[in-house]
Amino acid sequence: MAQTGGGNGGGRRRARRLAVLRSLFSRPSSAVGACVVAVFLLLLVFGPWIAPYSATQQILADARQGPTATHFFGTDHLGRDVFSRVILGTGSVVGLAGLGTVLAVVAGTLVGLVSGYRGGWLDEVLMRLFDSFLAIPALLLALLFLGALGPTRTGVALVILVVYMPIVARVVRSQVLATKSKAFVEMARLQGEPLGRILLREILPSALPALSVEAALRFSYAIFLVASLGFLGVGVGPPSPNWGLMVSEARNYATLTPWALFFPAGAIAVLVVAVNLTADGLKQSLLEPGRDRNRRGPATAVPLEPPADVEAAEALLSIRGLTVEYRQGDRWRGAVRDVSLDVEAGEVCAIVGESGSGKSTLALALLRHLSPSGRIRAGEAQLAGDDVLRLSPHALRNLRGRRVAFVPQDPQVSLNPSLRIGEQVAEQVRVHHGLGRRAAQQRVLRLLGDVDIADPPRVTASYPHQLSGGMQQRVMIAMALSGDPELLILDEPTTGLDVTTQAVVLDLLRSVIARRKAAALYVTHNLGVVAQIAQRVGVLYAGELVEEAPVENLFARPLHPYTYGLMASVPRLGELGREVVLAAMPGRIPALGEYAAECVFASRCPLAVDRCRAGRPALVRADENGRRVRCVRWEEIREQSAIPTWSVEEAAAEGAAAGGEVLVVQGLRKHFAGRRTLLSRGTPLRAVDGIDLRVEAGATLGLVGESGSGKSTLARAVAGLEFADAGELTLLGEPLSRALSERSRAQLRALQMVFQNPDEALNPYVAVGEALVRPLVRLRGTERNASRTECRRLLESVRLPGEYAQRRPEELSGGERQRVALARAFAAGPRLVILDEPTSSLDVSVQASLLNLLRALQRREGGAYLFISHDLAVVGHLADAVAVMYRGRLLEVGPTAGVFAPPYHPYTEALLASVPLADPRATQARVRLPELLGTEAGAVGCPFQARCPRKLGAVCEREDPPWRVTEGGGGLLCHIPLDELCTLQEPVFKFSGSRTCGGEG
Amino acid sequence: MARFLTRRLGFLVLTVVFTSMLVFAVTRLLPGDVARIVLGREAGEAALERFREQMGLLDPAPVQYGRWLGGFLRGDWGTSYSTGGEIRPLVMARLGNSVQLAGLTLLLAVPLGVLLGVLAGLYEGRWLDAAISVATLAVVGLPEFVTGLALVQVFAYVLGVLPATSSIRPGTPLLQALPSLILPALTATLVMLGYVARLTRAQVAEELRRPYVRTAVLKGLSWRRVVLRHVLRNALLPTVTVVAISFGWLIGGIIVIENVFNYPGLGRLLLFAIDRRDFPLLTAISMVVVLGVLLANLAADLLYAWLNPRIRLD
Repeated sequence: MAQTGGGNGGGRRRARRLAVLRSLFSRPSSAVGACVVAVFLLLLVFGPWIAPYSATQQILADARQGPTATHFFGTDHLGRDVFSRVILGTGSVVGLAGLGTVLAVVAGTLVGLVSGYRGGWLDEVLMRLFDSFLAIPALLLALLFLGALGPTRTGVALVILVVYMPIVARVVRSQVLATKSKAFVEMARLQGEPLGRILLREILPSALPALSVEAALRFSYAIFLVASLGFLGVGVGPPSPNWGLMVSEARNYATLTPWALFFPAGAIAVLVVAVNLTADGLKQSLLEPGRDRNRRGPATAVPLEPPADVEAAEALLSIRGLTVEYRQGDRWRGAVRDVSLDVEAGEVCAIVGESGSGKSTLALALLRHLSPSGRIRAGEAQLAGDDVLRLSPHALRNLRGRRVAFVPQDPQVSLNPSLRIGEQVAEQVRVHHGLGRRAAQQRVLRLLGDVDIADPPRVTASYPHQLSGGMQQRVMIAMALSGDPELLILDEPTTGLDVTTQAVVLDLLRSVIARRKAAALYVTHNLGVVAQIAQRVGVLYAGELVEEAPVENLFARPLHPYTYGLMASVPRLGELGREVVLAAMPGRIPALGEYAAECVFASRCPLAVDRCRAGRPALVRADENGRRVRCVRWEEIREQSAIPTWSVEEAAAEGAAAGGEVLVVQGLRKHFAGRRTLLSRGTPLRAVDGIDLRVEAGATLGLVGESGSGKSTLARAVAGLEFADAGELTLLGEPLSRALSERSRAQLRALQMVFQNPDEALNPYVAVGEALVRPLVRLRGTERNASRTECRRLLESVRLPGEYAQRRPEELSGGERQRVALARAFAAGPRLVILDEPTSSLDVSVQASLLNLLRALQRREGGAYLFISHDLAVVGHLADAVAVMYRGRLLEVGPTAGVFAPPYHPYTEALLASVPLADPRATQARVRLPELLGTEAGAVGCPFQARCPRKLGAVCEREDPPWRVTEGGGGLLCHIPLDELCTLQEPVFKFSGSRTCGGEG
Repeated sequence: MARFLTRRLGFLVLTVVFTSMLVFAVTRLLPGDVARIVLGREAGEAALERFREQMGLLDPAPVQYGRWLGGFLRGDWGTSYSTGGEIRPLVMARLGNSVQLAGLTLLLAVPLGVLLGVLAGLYEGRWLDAAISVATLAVVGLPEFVTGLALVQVFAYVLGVLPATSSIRPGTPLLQALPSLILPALTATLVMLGYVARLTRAQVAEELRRPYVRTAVLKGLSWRRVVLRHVLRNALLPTVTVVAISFGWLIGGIIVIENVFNYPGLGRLLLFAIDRRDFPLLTAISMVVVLGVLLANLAADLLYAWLNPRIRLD
């Protein structure tokens, strides 16, 4: 087994190397370059046997002879054979430059690895030194050092080392910095791997591509340097056949023996250009592999086919038979296939789907803005009578930004960083309305006022980086509204925002769309947002519209099995506790080009029958409300004679809580230094500011907070990845050091962590099995022989087949990688696992199966979780107790049902009121928080007072609020007494365990 | 901005101190007995000893360094071992010549390099980009003496339109010296052109991929306007830094080029000083070169910071 594993791994490594070579040779420039370099390397090795004469042999009779049959390149003024000297010169140039490069690369790699990983003062000092070093021109530095070291071969090699080592070290260091904070490295640290192994096995492989490119470049510069030193006469002296030296000697006889000048100069030119071409090819193959596809230029024009579906419609926007394709290799694959949809004026139509569903492609196709590898193949999109897909470029430009406006997902990068907000908005106004500077300015101010920006003149004078994310998105919305568009296309406009900001922006969008009677196409993955903003919904799966319905009907009774599964996989805020089981659809969305001529959902559908595989079902009209569904069994689903259900995880008995605490945190503090100058110390960032916390054995504590609340820092400080400034940690009754290096092996075993980003969860260069065996052997002391079976057992415990041990991370989906990361954390048999947003980057259906798995694992293995999330519904679903964090402080702690019911901390109340409930008929209190324009007040008073809607007054600013103990062992930090909060607050929403103040509800 | 300035100036001072120590240390490590070099082979042991004492060569290295740095800062750069003359006027005269050459090169290389780079970046992946990329890649790595000699062959020997050497006499007015400046400047330009073009291309291509470009396109702006107003503004910002970095490169190249064309600049003087083991001269030239590079970097950083609102307003 070990052999097959190793053989397979080796085979894949070989395959990857082959792929790099193939890519290198697919471009003529780098192919020629690599071949020429190879020839020179062969000459370096076999030169002494090829050269007919020695480098110094003077054939006086043949002196100053032009190229002949005996002397291919002629002879020089001393009668030496130029051909032989050029060939033997490879030793003086290529060999020496190569030796120097190897020295520089090895030394630079070591220095870069250690400096980057260690950081701190060592790194600071080294990098400052290197910066100073690099201020000296390389040739000057080389001249000075060579003077000191002497013009010997060793001297020259050492000079190359000295001159280029800092550059290599910088490159490696930057790679280390990019890699060392990745989850798989931090996991290795948490599992107590030794420093050398972390550097060489976990970090170095990720640095190798950039390092190889840099090494090739350094080789080219080293050749350049050796030749130049030779030419200047300061390198290894005559009679060395250094080409540079040969050129400089032959210069004086240029008219007599031009060949003696030409051939060595030509050798340098050819070699240097070849090395550069190779380095450039390596760079493209190793560092920019994805760009190859775009290198073939834009898509060739194909005639746009008319739609297959020709049902006429009166809607403002009517899309018919829209098909969009992407090029993959030599084939075109449909990313959006035959989509037909109507949107009425004043209506918000949501397009909901998971990643890979084609929803963003659909949105951008309506603006005819696709990546160079995409094209619109068929269909039409009528906007008030004009077919958008067939407009001339000029008409298209007039349409964009004026009749159809776009609001993107990420406002921060979607605004031009070097133009003022005012200029960016005014530009659009002026282009489309031909207004003058003054009039445009007025209109910009009015537009910004329309999107509830408090101080428009100030905002127009600002640059994007000076605004918060919510403000930036308001600006994007103002810009979109500036042309008074008939159609708004919104692509996940609130996805990057905090939940309280999202609520405010959703309110704004709802009101501007209603006011302007525009049609809106709202693309999102979030069912809560759909329920709160849309009137109609289209569900997109693998590029096909599988269902379309008015929002109430869709949420009340989905007709397509996929919609069914999607709804059942989302945790609802109103459904607390452990009795709810999420639907976990098996499998994944078929990738581009994997579709067969059957129902796209058949492979994952619990209701699939032979009929489903006979052909692609049609989108049929299901009722008079314009409801449509693409499923052959939809009538059975409507009649409830067939209900899609997914097999449920085994319902093992609740493990009785072992009692006692796994983890106790007391007074934990971690401040980050503010940016200091000579004049001021800077204000420190109080990331974690005195936190007390307990995690019960076998239970889950959910930690919620918005971005910047310090929840991840808290987790990392507990894990030991950040060294906390102060505080006491107790793990299983024993004191736990704040420093990772001082923790015992037993403590390392007991405390493990899983991180957010599935792409970084596993080392891309280590097979799954190897990653799992390490903690088994190191922390559990499993025998190598037994570890294979144990590894299989681990994989099965996270519902992955045992064969996955031989797979590499690149072959796994995001959800599968998170499962392996979970298995790796559980390999050591931990008592507490810190989960830092483990499902936040995953699609909802994948999230559902991971949440189910987390619960099953806890039942079986009995570990406790510290579960960090910004998603209150997920926390409510999983956690027994909840802690709410804001600006480094805990504002409220308690059992989940208690925290989700009054009395609330005013912040908790606002958070709960901001979550978009995935139910269009749900009622929810409306509490909104203002966005902050500046930074919040310092350390005095209540941390939340600047945004608190229930602020009492001066007391909140001046005095630290008291910790008020609530029922069920929780508490909250507020100046308002509990009974007063009770009279002020109603439950934000109704839920299963809903209570009113002072009693069970 | 104030914070940026203080940090930047602090770094400049630190670098000057460090490089001066490095230069001083390395020049003292050069083999050869200074007294012997200056006084000649016939000098007696007593005379050598007296000379060493006079010149302070017997003092500990830090003392010598302090004395030298103090002198350098006061403008007293000492006398040359080999010519016996004052170092400062000599270096300054040669510096003037080198700056002339460098200036002409920048004037040629930067606009042309930026233009080629922008074109290649805008047409990334098309034939124009491929042609520019391969061409610049070819010239960027060639040693200056290869390109220089090739240019001499073509323009001086084959065409006979320009002089092969550029040994201008001191005090020649710029206009008269211009013909002999063209070939060296052209040589330096070829190397620098590729460098500037490649970095500019990378910047433009990268900016084109940024989401704000999509925003600009979807606003309904013409492609011309998107490029001129949005893309170039951000893409050319780093080019300022590129030019400054390539300045150090240029100086290295100029050492070789001056040697190829016998141009009386700082580079030739440097080689002369190394050849003659003229330590005070060597140290002075090295310091002048390093200061030049550092000041160019500083100017570029300040310009960059001033043009970039994210730094200016921070």
